[in-house]
Amino acid sequence: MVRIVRRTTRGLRLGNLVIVLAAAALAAGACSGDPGESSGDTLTIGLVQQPLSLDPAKTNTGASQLIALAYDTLIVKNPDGSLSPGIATDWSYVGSGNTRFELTIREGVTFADGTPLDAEAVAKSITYFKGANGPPAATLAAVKTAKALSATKVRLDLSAPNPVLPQLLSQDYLAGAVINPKATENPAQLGADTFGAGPYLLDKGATVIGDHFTLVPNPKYWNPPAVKWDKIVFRVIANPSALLGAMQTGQVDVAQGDASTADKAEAAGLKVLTSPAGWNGLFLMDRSGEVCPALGDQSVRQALNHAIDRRAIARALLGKYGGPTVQPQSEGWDNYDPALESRYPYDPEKAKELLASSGHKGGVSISVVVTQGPDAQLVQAVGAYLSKVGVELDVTTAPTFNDFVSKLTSKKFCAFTTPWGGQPAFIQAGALFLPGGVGNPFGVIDEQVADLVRRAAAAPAEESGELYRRMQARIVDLAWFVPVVRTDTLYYVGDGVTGVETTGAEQIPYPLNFRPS
Amino acid sequence: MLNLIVRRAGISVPLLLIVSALTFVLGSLVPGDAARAILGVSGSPEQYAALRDELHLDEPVWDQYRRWLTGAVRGDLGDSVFSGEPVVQALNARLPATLSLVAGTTLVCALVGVAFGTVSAVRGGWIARSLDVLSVAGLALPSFWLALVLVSIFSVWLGLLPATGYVHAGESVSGWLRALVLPVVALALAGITQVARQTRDAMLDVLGQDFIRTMEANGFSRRSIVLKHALRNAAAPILTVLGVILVGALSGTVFVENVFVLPGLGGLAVQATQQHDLPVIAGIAVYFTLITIAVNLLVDLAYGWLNPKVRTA
Repeated sequence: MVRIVRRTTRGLRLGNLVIVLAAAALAAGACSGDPGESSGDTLTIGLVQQPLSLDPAKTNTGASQLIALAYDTLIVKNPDGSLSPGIATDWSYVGSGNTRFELTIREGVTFADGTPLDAEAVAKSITYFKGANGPPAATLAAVKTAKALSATKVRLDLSAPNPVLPQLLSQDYLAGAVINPKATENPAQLGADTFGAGPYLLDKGATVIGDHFTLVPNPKYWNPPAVKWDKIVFRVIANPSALLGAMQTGQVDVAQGDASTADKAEAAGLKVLTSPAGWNGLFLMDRSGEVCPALGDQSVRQALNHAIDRRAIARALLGKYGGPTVQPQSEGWDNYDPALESRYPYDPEKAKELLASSGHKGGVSISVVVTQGPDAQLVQAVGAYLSKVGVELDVTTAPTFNDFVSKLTSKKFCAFTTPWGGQPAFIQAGALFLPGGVGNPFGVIDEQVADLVRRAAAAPAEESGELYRRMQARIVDLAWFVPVVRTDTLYYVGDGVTGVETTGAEQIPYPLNFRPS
Repeated sequence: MLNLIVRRAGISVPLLLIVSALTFVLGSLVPGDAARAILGVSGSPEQYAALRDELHLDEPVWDQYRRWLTGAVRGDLGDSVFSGEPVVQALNARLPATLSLVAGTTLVCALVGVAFGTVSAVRGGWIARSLDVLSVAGLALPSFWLALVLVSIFSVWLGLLPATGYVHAGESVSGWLRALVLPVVALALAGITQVARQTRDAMLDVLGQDFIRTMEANGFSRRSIVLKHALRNAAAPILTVLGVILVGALSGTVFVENVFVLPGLGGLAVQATQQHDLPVIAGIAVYFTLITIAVNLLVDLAYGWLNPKVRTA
């Protein structure tokens, strides 16, 4: 009996102790270290997308800011779209035709472990990117060889013209991130650590992969004044409400926002930055009508473009953070042409006429694949307009993004919807217009478009713009897309940081420019 | 008691085999694949095929499972398909947050639920009626919604507690407790009402038994009867409910970790499933299974501690 009483009493005392501890923790208030607390020496950046890997050759845009800090890139792209020296001090195409490219490598640079960064290391890094089977490999597909000509000269020889190599070798496309050749000998280690020559390096002990990543200054960095922070923490916060809460309470200094929380962020006193990001709408893949016969008819595709009230959809879904558009490109890029914006006014009667004249009055069905969330809402809105002219959308919602991509490349669907960022016309043409690109799985080719892309790719920059605009006019006329809205990129910035800039040319702010305010 | 532990350990082996095999099969049925997750909308069909080959995704799922199992029996749960990080290292880094959350939730459910249920049983009246109302509310309110409300009030508005994040107890005990208060409250509400109702029913049952009346007749104080004798006799069903709550809290962590951005196993489970990271998914299943086995063992041991007849059985 006595033993029982003692144990019960001890249990109750333990309970009291826990309650006291919890109360003490609450009372500790702001004087204790909060999780993710931000100080003047620490910059905390919120990531809405989890970095898939820290290997620059096998990761996604979620990691691009982190990669930019840990791996200096050969070339740096500025917010106005101009290019500045990075690890490369100079670069140019050799001869005509954009098939040979040379870079001069900065002298006296070392990787964080002290290994010299020379032309040989740069050539090995580019060769690794090309063979790594990740997203950058696609952009480097035309690179036949990367060779060191001397300690400071690297030459890339291409199998086909590529006029955008300087951009591919900037922080935008990751392929310019120079990786330590010692690390590429054993690539498995690249996924969870950093092996660059950038101003910061990963503090593995203060990192939980997939949740938060802590960077500390690289003591061997070649340009010490560029290091502005004692510590930079990247925190993955996929939930928009949680991210806003973290920013409001000062736990995060800078993060990408979205239209659903932007007004609240503004009301909470956060700086909301916007820039034209890209566009969204229906990407018609079955351009020859293999699965959806009506889509093989240009008149039907043009009818779809006339049938929707883009302005109303943009206002309802995006508010002030977007607008209507009829062309597959974002403002400011080389094939964007403002004159095309009047090509498809909202005219349901004309849509019906075009459908009738093509023999498809009523009974047109288009299978569309989309991911959950805002894209599904957009498709629903577009579908409501199309049904008024006798076109039905048969929508399949993919549960995950990788399933979405699997479905859209399966040739079982006629269209898809996903936000598409602004990008150089040459890259966009490869991805969406030409056979082999993810947006053209049925491999439909338009000789006029293909010829314009071929000529523009080999032309000097001052001549390619006109060719790309002609290509864009042809694409809009072919109506291979039903672009609906142009979308903005949003960034939220707290009080402690300056230098955050998002523009149409450089939507993801370059974190090396962030400074304590 | 030793027999019980050995028996449980014996059962855990086939259980782990079944769970991990099912995880591999079900995980492979999730649409999409890891190669698509890496390439996104870029990459040619040839590149996609090469990446699938590199990641062994072309192998039948049983071959993938067999390769994983060969390592698993040696304690090597493989590497993440994406980061290349050893799965054991990735899971161990996230285990403290999840265990803290689950243990905190169970503790709060036990303390508050038992206290509320006991008072309700002894006093009756409006306390008992309010427990019925709160039980419905506790079950009806989704924990992730409650979490968002708690953040709005206690973090954003009052500024008392952190909105997101986790601090290791080794770094700062007060920071650790502060980080856990809101997630634990969000996760514990439904459990508190379950425990309280179970406690009230069990207590009412025990308090109506003959030995209580005998003790009252012998002049034992009401406080002593309730806290030292009735509660101990009513403890077995309460423990059962607490075990269920603890295991249930493991799945609840998926939502709560997302809202409070805690580096736990629940959030990792969601990420890994979306990305098709089969070794990580299987590793989490193994950890969750081991935790469940351990909880059941602890509950059984606690039965024995409370009731000597069970101990000698």
